[in-house]
Amino acid sequence: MTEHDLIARVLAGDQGAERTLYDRYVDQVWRMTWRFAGDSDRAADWTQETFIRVFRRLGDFRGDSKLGTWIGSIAVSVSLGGLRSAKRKVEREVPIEAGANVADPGPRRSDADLGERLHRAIDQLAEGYRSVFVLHDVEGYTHEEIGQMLGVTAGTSKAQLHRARGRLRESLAAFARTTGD
Amino acid sequence: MTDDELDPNLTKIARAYHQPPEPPREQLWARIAEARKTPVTPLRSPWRRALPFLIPAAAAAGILLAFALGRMSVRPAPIIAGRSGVTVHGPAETPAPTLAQRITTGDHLGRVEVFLTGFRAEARSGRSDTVAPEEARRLLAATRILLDSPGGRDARIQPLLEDLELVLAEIAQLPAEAGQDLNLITTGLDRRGTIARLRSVVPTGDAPVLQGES
Repeated sequence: MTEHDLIARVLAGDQGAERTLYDRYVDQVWRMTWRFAGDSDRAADWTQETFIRVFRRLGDFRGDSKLGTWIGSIAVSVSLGGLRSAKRKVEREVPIEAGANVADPGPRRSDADLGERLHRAIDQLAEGYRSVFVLHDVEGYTHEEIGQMLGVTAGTSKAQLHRARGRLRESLAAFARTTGD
Repeated sequence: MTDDELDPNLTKIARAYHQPPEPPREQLWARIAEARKTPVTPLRSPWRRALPFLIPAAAAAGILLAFALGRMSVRPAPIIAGRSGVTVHGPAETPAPTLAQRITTGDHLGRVEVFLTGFRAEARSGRSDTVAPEEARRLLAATRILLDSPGGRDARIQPLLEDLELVLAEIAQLPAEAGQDLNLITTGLDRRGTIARLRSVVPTGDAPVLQGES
């Protein structure tokens, strides 16, 4: 079934087509939401919300991008909204043990490996940088696709990626100095 | 390949960032099907009914906005979780939007209405406004900020903001020679009644104010 036929059947109320659309894109949506969420509970919530919006808005899909890119834009939007909500909650819930170290986490453990440090540095990137970095360098989307997902130009996406990589290099350089590498 | 790219080894490590497991497909589908049975809360008329009472308050919009911004910069006391794992919860997580926040939301919706009305008129006349994508991007950014604000999480406003987010993203991506895309967008605007819904929550006048629950 072509993408066009699938959309037409979903819009006509064909429940089998709805399931086909879901099956075709659930892996993509799950991967994207999981990359942003970092846990299955939130990824499941965001995947659910993404498909609810997809089915609600499918009639607005113009067809000038791939359906997967359009669905991806909704998944990104849902994920970023969820991250912002989670950030607010974390800011209000401070474990008593960590209270003294909220502003400054202190010296890094010397045995922390590069992967852990890199992943932590990605977590700490600003939202725009992190989004583009995850979508481009981790998930492999093109700048044109990322631009369509985020509502920015491909040039903006490239600039954001450049800055994200710069920030990561800075973080890793600081890590190397701390561990004496 | 450019010299901007990360070291290949780092890129490989980065790809393990938040490595997703297999999706629980059937469980997720069941959740989606269940959630779709719940109807979306529609916009209601109280916005319009209370406008006469709110117009005087709009005169003080600037002062209140400054006050609201000051309030928003003061964070609530953090919640302390002890070793026992017991967490003491503070006030509700999502505060009701303040008057100033409703003013800000109303002002933004008013701008979007003006923009979309102009865009639709241009599109119907066959003219292509090259400024539209840039303006749409600016409004899109503000819409996303509002979606994350207490005003944007209002059950009556959120669906409208989500629709606006989508249509603004579409306009933001318009190529220089849009042609058929313009027709598709304006058709979508008409079919979903987006501009009519905007007008139902944005009053005429210089200082649009949205009404809250309280």
